[in-house]
Amino acid sequence: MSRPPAYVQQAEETWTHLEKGLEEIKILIEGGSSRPWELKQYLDYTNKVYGLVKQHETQKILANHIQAYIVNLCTGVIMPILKDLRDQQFLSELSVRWYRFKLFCKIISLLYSHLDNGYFNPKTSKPGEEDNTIQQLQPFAYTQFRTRVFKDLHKTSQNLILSFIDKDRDGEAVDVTMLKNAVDLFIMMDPKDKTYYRDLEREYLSRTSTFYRNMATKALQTDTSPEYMIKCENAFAAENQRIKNYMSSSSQIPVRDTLIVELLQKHVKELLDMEHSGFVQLVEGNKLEDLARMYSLMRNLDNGIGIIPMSKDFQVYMMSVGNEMMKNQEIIQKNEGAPKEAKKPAKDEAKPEAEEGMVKDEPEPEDGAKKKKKKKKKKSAKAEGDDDAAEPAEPAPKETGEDGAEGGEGDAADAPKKKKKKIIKKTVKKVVNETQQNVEFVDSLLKLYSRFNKMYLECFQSNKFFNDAIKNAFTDFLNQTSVGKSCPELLAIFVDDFVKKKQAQQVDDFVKTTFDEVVALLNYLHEKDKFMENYKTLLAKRLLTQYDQSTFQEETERYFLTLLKNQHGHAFTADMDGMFSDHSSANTLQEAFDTYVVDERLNLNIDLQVQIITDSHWPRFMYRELQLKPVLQNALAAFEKFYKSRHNNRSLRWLHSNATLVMSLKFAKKTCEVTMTSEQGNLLSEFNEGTFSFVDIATRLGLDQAETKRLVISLMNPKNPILCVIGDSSEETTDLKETDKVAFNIAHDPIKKKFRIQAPSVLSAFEKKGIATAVDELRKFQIQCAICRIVKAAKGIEFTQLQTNVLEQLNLFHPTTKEIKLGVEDLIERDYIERDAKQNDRIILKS
Amino acid sequence: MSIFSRKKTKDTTPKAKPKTSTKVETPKPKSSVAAPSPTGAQTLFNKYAIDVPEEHIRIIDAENLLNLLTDLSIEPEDLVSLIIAWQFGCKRPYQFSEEEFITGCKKFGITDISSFQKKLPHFRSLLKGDEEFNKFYLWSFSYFADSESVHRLPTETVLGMIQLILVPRYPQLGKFAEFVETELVGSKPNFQRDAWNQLVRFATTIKKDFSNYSEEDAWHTILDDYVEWRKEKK
Repeated sequence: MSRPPAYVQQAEETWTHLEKGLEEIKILIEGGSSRPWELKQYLDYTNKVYGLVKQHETQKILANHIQAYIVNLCTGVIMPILKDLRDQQFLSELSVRWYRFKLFCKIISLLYSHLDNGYFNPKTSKPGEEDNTIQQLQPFAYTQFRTRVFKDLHKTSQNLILSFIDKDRDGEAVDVTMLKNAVDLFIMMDPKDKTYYRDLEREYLSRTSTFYRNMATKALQTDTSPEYMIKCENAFAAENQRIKNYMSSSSQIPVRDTLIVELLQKHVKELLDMEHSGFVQLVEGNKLEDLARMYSLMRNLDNGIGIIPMSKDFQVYMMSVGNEMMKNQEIIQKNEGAPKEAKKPAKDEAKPEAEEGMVKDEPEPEDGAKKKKKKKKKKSAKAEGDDDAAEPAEPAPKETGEDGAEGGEGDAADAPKKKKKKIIKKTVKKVVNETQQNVEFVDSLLKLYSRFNKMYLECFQSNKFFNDAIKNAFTDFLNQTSVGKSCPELLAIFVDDFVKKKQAQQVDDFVKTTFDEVVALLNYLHEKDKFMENYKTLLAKRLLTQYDQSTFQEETERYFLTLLKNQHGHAFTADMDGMFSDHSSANTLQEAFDTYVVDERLNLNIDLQVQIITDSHWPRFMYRELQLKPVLQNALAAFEKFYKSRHNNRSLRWLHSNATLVMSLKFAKKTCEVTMTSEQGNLLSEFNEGTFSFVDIATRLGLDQAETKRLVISLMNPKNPILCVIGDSSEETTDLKETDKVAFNIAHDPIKKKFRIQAPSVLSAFEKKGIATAVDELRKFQIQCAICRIVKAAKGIEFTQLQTNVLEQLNLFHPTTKEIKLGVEDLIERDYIERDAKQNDRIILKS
Repeated sequence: MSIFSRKKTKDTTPKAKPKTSTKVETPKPKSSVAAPSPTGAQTLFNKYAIDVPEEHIRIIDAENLLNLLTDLSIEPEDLVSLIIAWQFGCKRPYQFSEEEFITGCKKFGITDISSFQKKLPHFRSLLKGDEEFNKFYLWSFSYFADSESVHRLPTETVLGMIQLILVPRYPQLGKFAEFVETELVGSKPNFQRDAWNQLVRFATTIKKDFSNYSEEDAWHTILDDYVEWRKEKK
């Protein structure tokens, strides 16, 4: 044998050094030495490697050595250690060994990077030299590990890993790091195709699925749905954590899917319909947290099996609640007519000694409104006044007495003596009750809405299916045609009541929320126009009959109007805007008039305040002629003259029905200043002349009987009975009968010297009719306009399509087929359109 | 009851109504020229015509029309009288203008009462076909409305028209006539042409039990109301 060349020997020598270095590293990794390499050591080492790699001949020697070293590491070191180990020890050792091996490979591939570049690099490889095509060092090492260590052990380790995971799931403590490294081995042994990991994962999923299948079946036997859902939520979290702890993140989705199937999908119906704790029960019990949990769990499923059935149930539930409310409301409205139990009037008898009462009216003036016509512009004027010109009323027709009449003579005084007064408590209450009940009803609707809306926002994360459910349900029951007042009407009454409240003084969060809810409900109504007309009429009442304008909460009113405008556009609120501007221009005119009065040295004897309103913006008013006392007549005439001088071509009409009067009433004990509507005042002054039934009064004043009755009752509020029924107190009164004689309640002792009589805020029959007519006319007009537009644009259109298009164009109300048909028929008659002679259901523009 | 019997009493008015159309005025001089040797048609016309001095024309008015019908042995309720008006191109209800009458007679070779009578079967036969009937029935509304652009007639008149024109051919409309009589006359003074125009189609396409009727279709609301009325009555 020839002696090996010198360079070989040199190389072998170097290798012994290098090998020593490798051992050092090994010890370092295994934690045996605490002395880390310094830079110098490192440079020295790599230099040596470089030295060998530089020379072609020594390259191969070095490569062989290092490769052999690695092989030995696997078969000679690692395998023997593992061979005798079992179970946890085995897996633990394996994972540790792998971890170290990995680390070791990482370091040597750095140290031997020259070799990687110079020798293993396939680019420089020469044909025929097999070794040169070998992988670089690290992959080589992995391959060795796989073939020499892992291949034989992987089944065992897989089973071990899985059994540890099972333990983990069962709640036993396991070595997470061990598992992580073991699983990492499965991944790294085949990083490209991951076949080993896949095997592991498949098995893992199947165990997961079995585990949760059993868990679900068991849990559902005893758990309520919230309990079960908490378990689900925990399961999701736990599995997620498990993945994070030791599995590959790529397994996250498959595991999740497995859980979804086992925990939710298979039990979804059971869960949603669970007795006592199903979805509907949770909604019913307002269990927001559980609902939110349910939603976020169900969202994992296809909409078709989770979310949509939920939203359907949600809708059905809301409908049933809503319908129930509507039904109750209807019953209440029906019963409203029924007599209620009478209560005994608190004070039954008037003191017989009462002196005489005198109603004095100070006529305050009044207000009436006139309509004035000027190039199409009409205004109504309304005046209000306060003052003292007195006109005596009641028992003793004393001439204007200032208050002289008071203590005075007992003329009519004896009348009250014998009679007992009876107060019509019940009837009055009824009116109050009705409004209150209406308001409460709407309030409960708003609460209902806000409750469901909250669920929608907070639990169902604004999911559109739930939004649709709310919309469908509310649209369904709010638009029921009921016997009594319809929802648009009730909503308007609610707003009317609300804006008068003290709480609505400032536009704070409470007001904003309430209005938002009102607007939301309004959106669900088909007959928005009905709401608008009612709202408008009530607004007019607030603007005009609010005697004390300081209670008109303009900021709040305007805020609401802005909301309406934003939602439904300018046209929707144009009239209301006009009403507001009339209202705000009143002051300027009033000042001018006051100056005028002074300048002209007029003595009106009363304070007259006039509000001019532009006729076209306001609802229809009842223009009733009132027989006015001269003092009022004079004042009004003065104003007319004044107004004419400014606007010669406008015509004024006094609107007495919306005017206010401040009168001084002389009761036995004191004289009071009382504010009331001019109709009330006018009616009251009739009682200067005796006692009457409301029928008498109606005749005397030429008023409608029902209207008169309403007025009389408004003066009989049990808390403040200005008028009383004369009759036998033992007989309980539940209603004002036609035969009941009514008189000024002279014995009454009001608490305050100044007070006002609340006008009935209920809409009068006339106003209701006005609203209905306005709604009808507007609808007819809008329908016909829409039809014309559509037919014109389409040239010719089939009726069904026309109907669809009309419905699309009109959003303030939903015209019925009949209304559309009538529109078509009317337009045909007026020669705008005609039916196609060849095709009857086709509408064409009249040529 | 026919509209004729109904109308004839009220309707002495049409003749008083000034006739505005100019074409009627022209025939007058013509006829006076032709006067020396009047044709048979002219003779016939002259027999029933009256003067409308305000307009310087001569017409056969409602009363004389009735006489003519009597001479022809036609009952006023007989539909043929309307067919004649239709064939003669009459524009105004219950009257013939001179031109309408003469031209019509010439067209059908009528010279006297007996030749007129011989033509009656021909007139009656005209309505056999559905298409012809349809034209006739649509025309009748304009005829009674005295104009093509008028879209409504008094409900009572239409009731007469339904009974005279439609019910004999479409007996199923008998109930409709009853509906009009009991529900509409009185409460709805007018009946729209649009509804009239739909009646034959309604009679021919809608089943007895109304199972193929839908309010969503383009039927006139009167028909909607009628169907509902029938269903309620059941």
